[in-house]
Amino acid sequence: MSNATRPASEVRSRAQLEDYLGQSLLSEYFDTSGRRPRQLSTSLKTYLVELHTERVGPEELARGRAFASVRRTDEDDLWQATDENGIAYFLDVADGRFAFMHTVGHTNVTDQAWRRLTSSVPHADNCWIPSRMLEGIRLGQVIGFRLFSQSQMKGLDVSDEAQQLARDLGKDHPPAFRLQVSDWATAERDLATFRGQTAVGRRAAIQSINWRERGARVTDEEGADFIHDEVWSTGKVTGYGTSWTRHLGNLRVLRQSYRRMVSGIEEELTIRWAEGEGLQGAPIVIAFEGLEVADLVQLGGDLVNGADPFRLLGTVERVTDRLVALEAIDLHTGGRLQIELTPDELRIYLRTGTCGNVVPRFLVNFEHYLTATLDTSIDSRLVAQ
Amino acid sequence: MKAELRLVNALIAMSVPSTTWPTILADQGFTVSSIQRDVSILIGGSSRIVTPEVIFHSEDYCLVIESKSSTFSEPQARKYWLVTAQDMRDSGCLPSGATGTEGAVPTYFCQAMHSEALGGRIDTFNDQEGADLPLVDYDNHRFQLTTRDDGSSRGRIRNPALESEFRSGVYFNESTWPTRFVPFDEESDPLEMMRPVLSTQLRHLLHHPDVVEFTAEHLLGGHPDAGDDGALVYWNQLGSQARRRLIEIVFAMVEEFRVHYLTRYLSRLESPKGWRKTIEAVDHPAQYRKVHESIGDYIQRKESGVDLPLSGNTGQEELEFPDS
Repeated sequence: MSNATRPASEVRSRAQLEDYLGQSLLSEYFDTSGRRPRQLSTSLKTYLVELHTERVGPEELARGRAFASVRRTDEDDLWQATDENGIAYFLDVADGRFAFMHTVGHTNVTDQAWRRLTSSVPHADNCWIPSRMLEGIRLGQVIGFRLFSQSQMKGLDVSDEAQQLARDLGKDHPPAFRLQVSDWATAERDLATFRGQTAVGRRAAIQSINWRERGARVTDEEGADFIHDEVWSTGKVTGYGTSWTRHLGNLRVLRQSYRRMVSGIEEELTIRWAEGEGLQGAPIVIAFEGLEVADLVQLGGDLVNGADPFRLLGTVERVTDRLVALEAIDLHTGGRLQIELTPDELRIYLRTGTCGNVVPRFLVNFEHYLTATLDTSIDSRLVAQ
Repeated sequence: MKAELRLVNALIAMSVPSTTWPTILADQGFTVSSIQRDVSILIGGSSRIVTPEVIFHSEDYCLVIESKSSTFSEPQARKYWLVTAQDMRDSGCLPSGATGTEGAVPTYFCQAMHSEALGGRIDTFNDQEGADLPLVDYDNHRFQLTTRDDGSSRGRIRNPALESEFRSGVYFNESTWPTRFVPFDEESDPLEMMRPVLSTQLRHLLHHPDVVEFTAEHLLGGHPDAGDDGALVYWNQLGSQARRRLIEIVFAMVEEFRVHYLTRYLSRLESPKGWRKTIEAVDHPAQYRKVHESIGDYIQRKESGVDLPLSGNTGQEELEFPDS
């Protein structure tokens, strides 16, 4: 057994963080009473969070409902937060926009803090990773995946059978379809088969993919260093293995891809008037293949009622029987957007100053709760990596 | 939405990338250069004015669009027939980079139901003037360059590629007809302006501590401290008369809304006419919802013709700060 690492409270720098998190991957650390080594946590978790740090500092984070306290470490762009249960979180905000929030606390607790962060702190949001991006990223060998689908949004024409099942179960919505494959050598091929060749696979969103990356280096005790990273569509990455560095490398790949998508959306598609060039940008189309929204006003109202996950506040106008227009404010950053909703597509007019993260937020939540058979006008080079 | 604006939105959408709407203008390199802006033209030494619905430019062409009902004006047609790229450039309707060497491409558009009546008048005009002013009509499925009753050419779109496209017919799915590029103009029913304008006001109230004061013009064209472009993306491309008219309408609307619902948050400014925040920001989720609900209530009352509360207190009471 290696030497135990320092407590979270003593982490003051990235080097110390690497030591702390690296050893936590191996479960080599003392419990809070310091008597004997035992596993205190589940896997290492890193939440990829959009955090506009030009607007949000530790003080603003502390004022939200997510954490009991937030402080800078000795490195200005590495913050430590503690929740009401005493669980430590480390926010690496060096990127200025897409932060890593690392923790070794239990998922039941840390997911709650993460949700509070992204729903109660302005300028904070999940990084929403659409199925196409998840499928396209390469972080090693795919060894598992989760598929998910649930008709949960208002205004959908849910089948009598599904409604009856929901009633029998005493639920508001038909139950979800879930499929999990884990630690399976041919998972990548099976995922492609499910998604490409089965009706249920096409209808379901990719909720997560688990990659295994194994190095060539062999240590005395552990064999080759490796990491299993499960990346969720909501931006959570759970890591299990022996290599913190490989976990960090995967996070950096993920962030780079995500930044490229969001920045590309903002730069290429925001509707704006450029002096000397005229009107620039284009509406972003999200087409619902094989689905017709039955009640546009109801679904439109649901999208702009200010609640999670869309966090849009706005108005609904019935333009024609087959078109409603939404004027919305994104509570994430206060940006404006206009939306047209028809039975078979949604068009987003992103306006100057509005954060492009709203687009993947739509994509991921539609995939999970409306239909996964979406077709978007976003250039595939931005989404599929 | 009135027919002219519907057409403007449809054509603008043809000039930007899309997977669901025809992109024939974008394909030919056209982009919008002005919307409903006056163009001064010279005819026989006299100055005249036309106000096209929208002007597009490409490297060599200036496409000038006029939306028509069944009524036809010969003097107006003459002006469109004679308008030049230089007229548009001199009037500030073209960016400096647009040469317009191939000249103006005036094109009339109308709904298909007006096509027969209008087409006959255009035929007469073209015959008398030696002109070939074209007419494109549209329904809920396609845009089509119209021909004379005998099938011969009525007019010519002076851009060969567009001539060919519209002659073949430009087809679309009606449900994808876009409406948000230009959601309203100064001739729109004020009810159509409420949602975009009040959403912009909501943005200032909720999220912009830097914005302390704002005017109707800020709501329409953008606030320098907010980093956005207001309810109308093309505000700066509008003529001054249209802008003045819109400012008047929007000021009256927002002031009415303020008096009945928002006096706790906004006070009126006299010069320039606008509003000042009475608190730094509406920053509590419960307040968001109250302000949001008040917008919904105001719109519902206006749309259904129900009188607004006579006492300003009615609305204010609902917008008190929550205790917690």
